[in-house]
Amino acid sequence: MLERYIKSKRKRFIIKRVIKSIPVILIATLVAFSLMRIGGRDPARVILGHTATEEMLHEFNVEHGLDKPYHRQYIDWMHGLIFHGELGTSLRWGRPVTELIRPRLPLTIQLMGLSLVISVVMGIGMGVLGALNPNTWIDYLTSTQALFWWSAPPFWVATIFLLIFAFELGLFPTGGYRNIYYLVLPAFVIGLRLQAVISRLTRSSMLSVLNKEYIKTAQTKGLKKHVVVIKHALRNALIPVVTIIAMYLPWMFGGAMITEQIFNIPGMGRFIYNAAMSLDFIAVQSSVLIITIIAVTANLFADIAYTFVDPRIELGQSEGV
Amino acid sequence: MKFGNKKKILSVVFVTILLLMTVAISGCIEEEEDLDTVVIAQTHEPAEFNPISYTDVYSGYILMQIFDPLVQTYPEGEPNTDGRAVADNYEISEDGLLYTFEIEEGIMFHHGEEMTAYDIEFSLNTVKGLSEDLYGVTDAPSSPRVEDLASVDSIEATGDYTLEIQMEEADAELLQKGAFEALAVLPKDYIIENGWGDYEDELIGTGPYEFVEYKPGDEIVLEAFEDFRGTVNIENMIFDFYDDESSAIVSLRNGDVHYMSRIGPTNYHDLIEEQIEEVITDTYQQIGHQRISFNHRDEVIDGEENPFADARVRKAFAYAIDFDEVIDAVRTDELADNTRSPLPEVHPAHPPGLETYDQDLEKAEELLADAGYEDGFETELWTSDDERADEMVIVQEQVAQVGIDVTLQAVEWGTFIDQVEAGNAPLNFAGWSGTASAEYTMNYMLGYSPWGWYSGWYNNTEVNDLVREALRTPGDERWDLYHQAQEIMVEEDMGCLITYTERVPQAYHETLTVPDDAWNPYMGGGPLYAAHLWELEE
Amino acid sequence: MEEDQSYFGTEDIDIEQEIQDLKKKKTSQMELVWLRFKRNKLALIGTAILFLLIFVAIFAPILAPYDPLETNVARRREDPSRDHWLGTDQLGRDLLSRLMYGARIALFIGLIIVGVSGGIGVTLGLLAGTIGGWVDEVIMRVVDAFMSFPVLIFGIAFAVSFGGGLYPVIMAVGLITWTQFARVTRGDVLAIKQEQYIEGARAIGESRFSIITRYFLPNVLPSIIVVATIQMPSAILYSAALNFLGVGVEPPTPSWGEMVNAGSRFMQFRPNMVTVTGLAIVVTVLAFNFMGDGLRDALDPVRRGGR
Repeated sequence: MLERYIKSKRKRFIIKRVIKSIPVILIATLVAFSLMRIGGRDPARVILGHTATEEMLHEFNVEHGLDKPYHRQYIDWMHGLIFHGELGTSLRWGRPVTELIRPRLPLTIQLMGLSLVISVVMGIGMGVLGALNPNTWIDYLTSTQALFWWSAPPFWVATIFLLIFAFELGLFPTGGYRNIYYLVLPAFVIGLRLQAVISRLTRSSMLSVLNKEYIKTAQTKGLKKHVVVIKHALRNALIPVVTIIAMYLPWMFGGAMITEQIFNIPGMGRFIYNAAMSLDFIAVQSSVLIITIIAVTANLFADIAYTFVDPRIELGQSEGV
Repeated sequence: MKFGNKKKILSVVFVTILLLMTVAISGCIEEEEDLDTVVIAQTHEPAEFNPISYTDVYSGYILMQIFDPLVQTYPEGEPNTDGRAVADNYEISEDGLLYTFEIEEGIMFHHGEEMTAYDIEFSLNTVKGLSEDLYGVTDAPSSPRVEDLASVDSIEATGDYTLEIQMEEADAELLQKGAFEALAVLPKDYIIENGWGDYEDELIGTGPYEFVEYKPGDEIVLEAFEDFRGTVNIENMIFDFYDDESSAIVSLRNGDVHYMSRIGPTNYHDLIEEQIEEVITDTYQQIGHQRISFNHRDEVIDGEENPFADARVRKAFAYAIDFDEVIDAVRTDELADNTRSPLPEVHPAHPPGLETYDQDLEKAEELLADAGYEDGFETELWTSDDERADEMVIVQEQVAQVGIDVTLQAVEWGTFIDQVEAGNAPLNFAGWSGTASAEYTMNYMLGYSPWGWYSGWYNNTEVNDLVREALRTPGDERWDLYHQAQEIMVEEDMGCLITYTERVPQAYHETLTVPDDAWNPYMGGGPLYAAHLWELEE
Repeated sequence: MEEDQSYFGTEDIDIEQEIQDLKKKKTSQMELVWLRFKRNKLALIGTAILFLLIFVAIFAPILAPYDPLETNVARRREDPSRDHWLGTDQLGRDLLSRLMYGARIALFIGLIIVGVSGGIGVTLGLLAGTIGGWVDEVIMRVVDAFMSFPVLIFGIAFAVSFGGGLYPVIMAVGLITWTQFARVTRGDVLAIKQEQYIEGARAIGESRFSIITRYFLPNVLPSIIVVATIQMPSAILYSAALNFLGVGVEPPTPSWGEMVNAGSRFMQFRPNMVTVTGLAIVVTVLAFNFMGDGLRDALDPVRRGGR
């Protein structure tokens, strides 16, 4: 139906793809809103503690609008969000959520960025090594390390790294944040696991392309062709890596939550953890929504970027995300 | 061409290594740290960081640096002149109904105005909830300490430096209650003019440290008040919030943190055993205890009959426990005293010779049989999911020997409070720490208290009456009344099962010097109340 | 939320595609699958470890040298010794026994989570695929939304709002990890839909429900199993993480995540507990991954690449 107005297949795809994201975000708001309310617990007592009086509890609920019916609370939240860009007032700290997130989100983004650098460099490196030397000891080594880091629970890895590299060996600070160096060890915790995925993916995509290409160029000899083939294979292998990274963004936030907790870094992840443990519905719902929007947007960009890079993608049918 | 790609790969690798190196180097050049800053680590962030409405000790530790109280007293009644009380002197009339305070002159607020008795009047009335009625201040928060002032008739400044408090009924421990010990003297004119919304950002007080900044979830920054009426040795103070105590201890060992109040018993013992030289450990005797409370209110809990309504069952439970073993499990007798009284031995209201319920399994079984439970019963014990849970595991094992099958519900603190308040806990294990006022410590366990839910709604009118009478009895006679009340509560009723009274472990770095006389059990917060007298080596 | 990647190489990351290829082959392929699986050394090791683990989990009451709940305050936090092969925890309980019982909990939780997420995911996938149209679109948007949530953050918020505990944790993880099941099932269904015999069945007038259960379900089963082998280790890791963070199984029941947490509190003085418990988790998850990869490779050897 759109064909009449927009000739470009790619543009149509992009438009449709963007439109598809809207209901996704809408559904996400509903889920984020209900997430902590289904359990039916009352945050007032949890936040104010056991010495608070009944009057204080009542005051608290009225002040934060928690005595209103759920649909009213949802509408108020959405209204504030869409028309005023407000994320609500935190139950736990009494300040606007935007103010609380502002210094923290960049820190977590930095942490995730550092993790990405580590995982991409290491992952592609390992993957290439494996693909170029298939079924040799190099391959087994790189593949096994990938599987190991994939299987090791991040909370344990973080704990052990803190013990060994920070405390025992003194190579890294034991926690807190003063400059980016404080993010390196936590970034490795996240990056090592992400690297496992990337290296496996790189290896397999490179291998499949290499196989095809070698068959084609079997007759031609010489170093020149060899290198061209590798370069081509690598380029092809990078494409799914972008998609995978976008797909793993949500997981990375979860990883950030754990590492920030263990390394005492004042980022978004630790904020969400503290907010959740205090039953601060408001802070949690808005924070979760922001993370979701970031993830959806990243996947959107990845899908769009894909269309520019891989002509094999059929712009007519797509399967969400 | 054939080297072109290798070049590209090499350059990418080179750039990455360069990047990582700059990051590493920047890490080695640490920021110029503020010299003369003492860092105090806490594992709990204040729930409400407000001098009127704060509810937990962790807020108190910080607020007490910013604000001064009116008076500080010992349990026997003498004023504590070592503290930062703004009252030089006070008198109580014979009938106990009139208090007259002489206020020190020349005390300055952080914003440059002088403090007068009118500010104290304003502050006390705000705690009492009269802020709107008397001064037209509409957005004042409610205080959990409003009950402490229940018998107060009026508070009035009769001059710039004199304050009078008129009582409806005598309250012998008035000045030892939270409302006074934790009182923050607030700037009346400033709050009337600007309102509480603004004031909460400023938090102007008269204490040795000024409020600078609160970064939620991270830290609170304070700096020395130049015009403080005494000495303030260390220029800057930071309260750092750690979720995890062991990380905080690591920072303490490194000297990034200088002081930790209330460290866990396990870490305390480890620091000693491992002979960590950089860290000095000590304890101070607080007025506090841990106890197992019984739900007296509900006959049926979650569809199951509640056996603890019967005093024999409660006593049987107590006799089944070997308290020394429970203490040994985590705290050891260095940090806990085996007594069934909620008040520690140093307090005059502690009844000497109180029945200790030493473990006697036979007696326990007898009592259970009497009550009709010779085959024992199943029940639940709720507590928080930290070292308390470990102690209750020991209890669980012990009472199993007489057929009481305890399911342990060790949950996070918020859930714990919820469940206890809802009446879902037949047993709950938690603690309480109080001020020098004995009534304050007894009160929360008794039926007439607004916190009765926390300790199971124990209601014995004789005990209630004895405690209330003690309040009206000035002088040493009231100790007898407290002794009697506890004897009934423990020996007759076993209304509330105190497991032990506590000493609070502290740890601090060797570069920090804490004056000896700061370890006074009647000053809430221990050495923290004298933080302005600490010294830090370079 | 987990990538569906095989270990030793793939043609592409579209698992739906490869399962579809599989359908075209006949059942005697099952024997070939088994042979291929056997050739993969790592897969065999993984399976062996898993069998051992399941054995230990089932027979823990007999195998465990001590009662995992029995405290011994005099022998706290000890390193491995002749009495306690892996040492003791903070209350003097034998670590080996607690790890064994912990295996039960871990496997049990993992199984139920996979059951829950599988149930939800397969149902939604079937609905989306068979009904199609706007139902499909809506379900896929829901899938997209859930895929954008971080599992741990969702999990902890959800579990805390119920006060923590075993079942809230299971529900929390189960309610968010169903997306891969849904997508794979839907993909299968779409492929099968084209088949002739489906058209034939509808022409005869078979009820939709009957068609789903007789034709779709059995053919979807292999991919469900494959996804389950990916989700199981994942579920174990997530539930361990939630237990580590303090929501979940309550003491004194041994859970690996909680044990890592407890051990970390004194790890600067006694690192034994943290190390040993963590390794238990790593070995378990590794074994699942070896086996799972081997299974996937055996199902479609073309993806192995290299030779």
